[in-house]
Amino acid sequence: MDYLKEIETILKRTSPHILSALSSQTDDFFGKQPSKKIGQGVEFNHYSQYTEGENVKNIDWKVFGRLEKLFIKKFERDSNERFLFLFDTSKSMLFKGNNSVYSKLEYSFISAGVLTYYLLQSQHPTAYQFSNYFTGYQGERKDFSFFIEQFEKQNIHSALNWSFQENIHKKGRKTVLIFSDFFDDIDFLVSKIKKLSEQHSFHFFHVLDSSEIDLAEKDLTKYIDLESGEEIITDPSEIYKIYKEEIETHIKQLKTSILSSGFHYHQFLTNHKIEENLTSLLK
Amino acid sequence: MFKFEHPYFLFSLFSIVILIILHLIRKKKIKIVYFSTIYFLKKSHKKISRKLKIKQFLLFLFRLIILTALIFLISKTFWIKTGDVITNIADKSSYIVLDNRYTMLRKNSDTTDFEIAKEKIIKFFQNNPNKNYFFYKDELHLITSKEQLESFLDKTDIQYPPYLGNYFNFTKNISKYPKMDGVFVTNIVSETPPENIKLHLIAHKETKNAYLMNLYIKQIDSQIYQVETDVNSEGNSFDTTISLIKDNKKVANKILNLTPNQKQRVTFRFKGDSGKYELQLGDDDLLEDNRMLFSLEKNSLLKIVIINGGMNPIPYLDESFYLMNAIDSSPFRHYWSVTVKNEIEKDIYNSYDLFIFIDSSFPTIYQKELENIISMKKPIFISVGNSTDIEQFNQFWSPYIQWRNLKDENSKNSFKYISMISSEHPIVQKIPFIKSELIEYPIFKYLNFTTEQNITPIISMNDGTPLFVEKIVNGSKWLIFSSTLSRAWGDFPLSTHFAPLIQESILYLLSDKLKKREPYFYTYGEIHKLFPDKILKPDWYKLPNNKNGAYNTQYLFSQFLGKDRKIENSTENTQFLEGEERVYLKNWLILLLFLVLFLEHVVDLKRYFRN
Repeated sequence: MDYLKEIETILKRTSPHILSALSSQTDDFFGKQPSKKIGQGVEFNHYSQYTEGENVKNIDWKVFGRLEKLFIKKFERDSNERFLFLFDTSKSMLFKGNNSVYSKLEYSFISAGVLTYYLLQSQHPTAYQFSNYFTGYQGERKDFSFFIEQFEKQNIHSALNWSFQENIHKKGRKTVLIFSDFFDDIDFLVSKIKKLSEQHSFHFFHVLDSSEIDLAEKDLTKYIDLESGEEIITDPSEIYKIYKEEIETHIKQLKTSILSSGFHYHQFLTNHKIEENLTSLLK
Repeated sequence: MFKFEHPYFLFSLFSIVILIILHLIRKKKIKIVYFSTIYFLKKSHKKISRKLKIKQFLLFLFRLIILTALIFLISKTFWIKTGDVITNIADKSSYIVLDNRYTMLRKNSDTTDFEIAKEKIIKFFQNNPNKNYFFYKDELHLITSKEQLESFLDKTDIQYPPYLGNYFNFTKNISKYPKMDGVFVTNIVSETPPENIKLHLIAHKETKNAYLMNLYIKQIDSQIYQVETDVNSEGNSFDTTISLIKDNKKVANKILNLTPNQKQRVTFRFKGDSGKYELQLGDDDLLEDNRMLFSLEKNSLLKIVIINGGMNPIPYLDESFYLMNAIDSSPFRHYWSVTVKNEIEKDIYNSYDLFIFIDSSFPTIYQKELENIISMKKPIFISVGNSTDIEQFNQFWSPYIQWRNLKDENSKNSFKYISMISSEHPIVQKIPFIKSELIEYPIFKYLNFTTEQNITPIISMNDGTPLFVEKIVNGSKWLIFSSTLSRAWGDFPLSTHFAPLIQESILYLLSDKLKKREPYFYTYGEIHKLFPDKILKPDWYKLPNNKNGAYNTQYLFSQFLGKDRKIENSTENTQFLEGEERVYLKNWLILLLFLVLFLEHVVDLKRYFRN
């Protein structure tokens, strides 16, 4: 797949205004709220007079009390905040339902690619962690193509590589974005990273195909597990109701577990457009 | 025990075996899907696996039942219900029909099937008191008491044709009572009855039945007759014979191959001697439906042949026109028939009673035929024609008649007309001649008789020339008209005297024959044309003068039917049953089919309504 082309297409579908909004929202979302404290990620730079349309949150009311004029506090981004993308490249991520354009893995890559583009525009050091490979942090705009190349180089391996913890401990605060279908033991995963949550920010991107929730088949079907190769012959018409209950319970538990640990949870359905998912996410 | 009308369809049951094998080896194509994880599928499947197995088994069972029911339906499954069948009629109004065909007179011991049937009907009426009953005789009659029923039964007798007609035709007649049950009491059935009719068979056997319907008799010529009848067959295919019997002696026989419900026309041609004839079907069950009787009377007609010497043999044209109209308009016309011939056929002289020669200059090659006629002492009426060649004429009729010359009167003043009429001759005695009128119809061309002939003038013209004379030749009467019977030589045929003269002349010539005839045999206006094979019809037909013609042969069979019939006991080993009824499972099978189809869909409903 030509990921660069796919990502460019999605970038083109948004207007420049939305791009900048996305970019700033992306900042708001991924970064913490601006702070005056030095070393906390965002630093005060200068004042500028308020113009209509600007965020009223940033108005310095003390200055208004003195001068009776509205001034906006302008901050300089903390260029040290790092972003780590973590990808599940297990075989289950290769699943693609009949109504979907991309497999779950392709969907994850393209979504991450779009986000990476915006991050590099803001010159945030960004790194990718695959199951057997860590890219190292890159923060220049020119590095975008480097990241995209990594998608194409990836082979299918086993599940998530937990060695990323070592990479987190290095060099201060990080935002970690995990793309996976989370069919593994989620409690194990959460327990592993819970200690890190105070210092770092975690976002769980739950990538699912709608056919995994609503079985698309009607007649007797042989299902073969992509990972284990196990088989089962069953009648989807008969089991779909129970199956749906099971899978929805699983998703609910997963979400509860993630949120209760102070992490962020986002569900990405691959039959939805990527830009729609991203937009709704950023809101 | 079930029986099948089409048992060969049962071979389809082998398909059930195939279905079972397919089910066991599960050759059905299963869709393969590579799925991200089957963990939840397995978990769900485990919860309903038992239910799934039951469902699969039920679906398989339903399909087996559907297939079996279909095969049984096509095979027309039924079972025989024996016993007092007619007591099982639905609780509503019923009509009772008693078969009164001749076949019901077949005897079992000393009792006929007809008597047994009557007893059964009374028994049935008594055993089922809480119903409305109607007895069918021409129409439905409400029966309120046993006495009333017995009275109707007493009035019902075997008859031909039966008031039911054919059993199957009868069922059409009663279609106006579709909501009622019918109880049909009979002894032979060859076809499945309609659903609203309950058969009560008092005797039942393999049906090989044929019967005769209709009889057509045609007279091909003076001697050859043709008789036709329709053989209708019921029941199974079989071979039989049909015989033409004359005076209890078989004269002709044909072999028939009969197939069920077939109508086959059989024709016999025979020389029509007088006597009693019978067409009889052999070798089947119903002897009494197999007879058609008719009779022929010898010389039942007085036959006149008109022999036209001219080249135009068509009746009612030229010389024959006035003559034939005169015969047709005769008050005695029913006594004779007329044939127009342009030549005398051999071997037929004996069948004619009177020979009329018109335009009578025949070539001498017919001399021998003339001598034959004279030798048989048949009466002859002769008239000359406008094409008569005097020499040829004299040559032919010599030595019986001779003419001197042809008188051709062109001057109106010298026209001859009839004025002298013999008062003693019986022909003219009954005709009131009006002389003043006769002058209006002159004769301007005629032949003169030679004086030496021994002739008796009946009518002469005003100058004394004989016009119409009688001559006895070889003991038979000849009447000779010396002018034409058309307007070619005179206007006399237009006179009111002309037709009576012709009619009285014929009566006179045939008077000896007429005395012997009985008035019973009559027909009128019948014409034997030149090609009788092509034009004879048994029906009425129009004469050229637009009058109705009729067929001359008597359909006497109708008078014999029902009179001379002899009822014979069936010699075959007939199996008598108390009562038997075929109960078809059609409705039940259809119901089962729909029920199972419905159940199958209910069981498999999730497939259709999942989304």
